[in-house]
Amino acid sequence: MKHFILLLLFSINLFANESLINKINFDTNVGADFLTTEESPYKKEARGDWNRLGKQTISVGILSLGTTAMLYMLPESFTNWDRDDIKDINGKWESNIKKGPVWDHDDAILNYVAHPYVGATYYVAARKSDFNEFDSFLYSFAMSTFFWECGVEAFAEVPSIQDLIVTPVFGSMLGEYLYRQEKKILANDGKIRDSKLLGKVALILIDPIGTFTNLIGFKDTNIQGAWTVVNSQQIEDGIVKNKPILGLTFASTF
Amino acid sequence: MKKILFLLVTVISLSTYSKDYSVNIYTGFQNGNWRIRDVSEKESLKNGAYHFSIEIEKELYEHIYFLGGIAYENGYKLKNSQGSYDIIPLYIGGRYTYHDGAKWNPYISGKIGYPIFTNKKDINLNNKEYNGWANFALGLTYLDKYMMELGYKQHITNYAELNDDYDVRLFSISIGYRLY
Repeated sequence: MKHFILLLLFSINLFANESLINKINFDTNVGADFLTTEESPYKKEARGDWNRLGKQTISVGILSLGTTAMLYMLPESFTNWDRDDIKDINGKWESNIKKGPVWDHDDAILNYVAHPYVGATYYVAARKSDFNEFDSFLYSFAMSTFFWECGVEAFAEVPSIQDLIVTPVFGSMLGEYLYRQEKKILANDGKIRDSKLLGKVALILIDPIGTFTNLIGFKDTNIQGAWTVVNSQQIEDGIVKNKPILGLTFASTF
Repeated sequence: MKKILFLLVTVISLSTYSKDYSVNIYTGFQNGNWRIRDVSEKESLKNGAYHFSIEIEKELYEHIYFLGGIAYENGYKLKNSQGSYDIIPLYIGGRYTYHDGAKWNPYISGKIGYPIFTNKKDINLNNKEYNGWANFALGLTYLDKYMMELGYKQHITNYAELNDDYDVRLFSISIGYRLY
């Protein structure tokens, strides 16, 4: 009950005139300076880049396998996954689908923070592939419902009604907010409060699927990486000395 | 009943306080079944129930709307029991519209909330912290004023005698009207 009261209080805040939502209602032209009119994601009829979205979807598949492995290693008390059941995989998926969906008893953090974030990452993947808000919601809905909840996760547990609704519905709201935040950061030369590091971390968190897609070679932005040796100048006993440092250069161009 | 009226007044007061909002009302019928958690056994509800809800809608972005509201669902009567109860779900959710501004505007909505059990007759329900209510719907808006909706609803109950979770699943048909 207390979680719903918190959610309710948060939502009431949305209705206040000086509420959070007014603060996040950004100028939709933000970032337009680096996008041509044709490329602008804010135009009403987005065309949708299926090729890019396809690559993002493959990335999600690879990421999900990793996530599944990670969740499998986490304590059962956290995930509510029964490892013995997972071992008996034959028929488990069908049985879980037939039982579901049910109201789960997972931690509120998992249900109301982690799931909306995952829904948001799906949404951002579609939005950045030039799909409009409704289409991006559909993508988030399809991925969270058919790929994860009734797909991968159904091998381990009965689909959850909260996850089926919270992930795409609140995930898409959060996703649109993050998508616009990303435009603001990029318009600010990739910085948050003059910090390039903060900006970079935020950009990765906003679009982890896109970041991962680039890392595995589906480049739609120009990412360059190389081992480098540079000389570091250090002063020892009043004498300037050059000391070699091995490093990894990692740069991206948006 | 006082609590319900208080909540209703709160929702309506908030709507008059805020800008850029709409207030929607819905009514309709629903029917379905309940079943014990992790057991295949299921039973139909004895009668269809009617529902009524009032909600506030606010446009967050184009095609994306936030919803918050209160509903009243009457007449949950189980086949093998004389007992019955009503629920008052408090919920928040979202609506995603396909074509804002068009005469016919399809939408998808999802809501999640907490059901308050009320009007219990010959039935002893446990109050569990994880009680919940959820609603997923496909709908059409006509002239941005009238709505018709097909929905799937679910809530969870826990009978004190059996201490078992029961998932109650229903399909609903609703009509709605945008007050302003």
